[in-house]
Amino acid sequence: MPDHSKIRKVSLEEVLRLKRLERPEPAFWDQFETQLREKQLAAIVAKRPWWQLDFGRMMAGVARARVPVGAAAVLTLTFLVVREYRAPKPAVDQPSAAEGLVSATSVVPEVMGELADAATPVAGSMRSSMDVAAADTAVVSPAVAKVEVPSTVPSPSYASVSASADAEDSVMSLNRMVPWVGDALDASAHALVSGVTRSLEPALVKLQEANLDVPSVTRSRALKIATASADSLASEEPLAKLAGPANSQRARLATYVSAAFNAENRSSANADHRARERAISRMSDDELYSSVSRISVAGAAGGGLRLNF
Amino acid sequence: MLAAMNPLAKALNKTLVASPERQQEADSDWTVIQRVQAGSVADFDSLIRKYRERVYAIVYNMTSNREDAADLTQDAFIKAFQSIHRFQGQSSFFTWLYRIAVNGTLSHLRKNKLRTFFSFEKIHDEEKGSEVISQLTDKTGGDRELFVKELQEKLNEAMQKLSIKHRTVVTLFEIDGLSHEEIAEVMDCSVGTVRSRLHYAKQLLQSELQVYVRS
Repeated sequence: MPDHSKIRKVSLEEVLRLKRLERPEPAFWDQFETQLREKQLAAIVAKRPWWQLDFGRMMAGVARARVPVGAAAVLTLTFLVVREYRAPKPAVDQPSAAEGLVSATSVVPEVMGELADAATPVAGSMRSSMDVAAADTAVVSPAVAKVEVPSTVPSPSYASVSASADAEDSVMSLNRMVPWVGDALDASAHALVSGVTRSLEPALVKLQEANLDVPSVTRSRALKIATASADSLASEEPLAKLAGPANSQRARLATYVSAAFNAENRSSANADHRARERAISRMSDDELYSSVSRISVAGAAGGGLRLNF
Repeated sequence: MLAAMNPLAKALNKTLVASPERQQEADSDWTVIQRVQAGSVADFDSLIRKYRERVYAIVYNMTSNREDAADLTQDAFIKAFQSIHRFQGQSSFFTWLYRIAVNGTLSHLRKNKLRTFFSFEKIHDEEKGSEVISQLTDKTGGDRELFVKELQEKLNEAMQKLSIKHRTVVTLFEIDGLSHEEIAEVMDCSVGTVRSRLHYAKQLLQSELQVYVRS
């Protein structure tokens, strides 16, 4: 152990300079050079990972072709966008679907006429409780049997059901939208017809309970025509099977509406009305359906026929 | 102001800060580098031979491990070779190479903070070092060798007690002889930071080596 008492102290810088004397032997550099050469060759041969790529050089190469690449990208994008959003051609050769819808819509005024005829005596006796719609609602005349929908119905795809002549126009409008509506049309048509039948059925039952003379053929005929129309729409419309952008949502809503109406057959008339209103309010696009399905008849207790639009 | 200057002016500003020897060195290096960039791999070997000892000394004094120092020095040269096409002469080559070596060593030390093994090189005290050692003690023969070994251990222990950045500053300034400006460029910090770190590191070393160092 060295004797520290005999040490003559020096400055820190002089002590640190001793570190400069810590040097490897000359033989070390031979080995160093050999190893370095091996590593250098390995680095040249080895494939560099993507994060060590020289993006500057790559971008410099791309920059030369910047204009043609950009132009090609713009053209491609334009082509895709225009192709995606081009206007649909009017469907001209869909007679079966049109006929189906015409029959489905034309049955409504017919049935309504019969209903109105049957309800005339009741209406005469209980006129005080008759609920006639205001300016923005439909006007029901037993003699004309005309069902009108409000003018605020937004979409031509859900044609106004006012008369058979109007129904033809609505069918043409509907046909134009077929490629866009796709399966939603199918679901809507089903919902429309089933809604009509379900709405008419309790009304007819209540009329019969009120000892009104409703011809039984009217009820059976209405149900039959409506069902047949729905089937023809579903089976004969190939474009209706096209996937539309919102068909899944509409299908879900239609399912929900069907479930709601099945439940309403088992519950009271007021609860039915609320559930139906709630469901219909969610189907804002299906105004036609809602306008027809709101037909309800108050029973003997209610004392009258009520048509809500 | 400096940021608004173009690269050439920036490079001129930096080289004006450096000493004339450094300036000559940078000029000769730039000629060699241009040849390497043109594809002459053999010219890079001359740069390796020129700077390998200095780079090794820095890495060794930062790590206090000769095996790690050898590996890190080789890695620094390989990285420099791989990136030589990016070097545009905005700083001197040795500063650029030092920066690669220092950053690689700092990264290595951070990764292996808990794993520290010391393996020292032998002190060659036949030159100037013998004067310092002679000043420290009058002993000769076996006692002298023992004393030098003890001093080396104490010195490296004291160095390892410094933080990585303080150790780097001391190594670059006291051992390799770089100026404050050059250290600031290598470590990518301000000159004031370099001075501050150097002052703090010396204070700590002074207290650790008070047996050998006069206050």
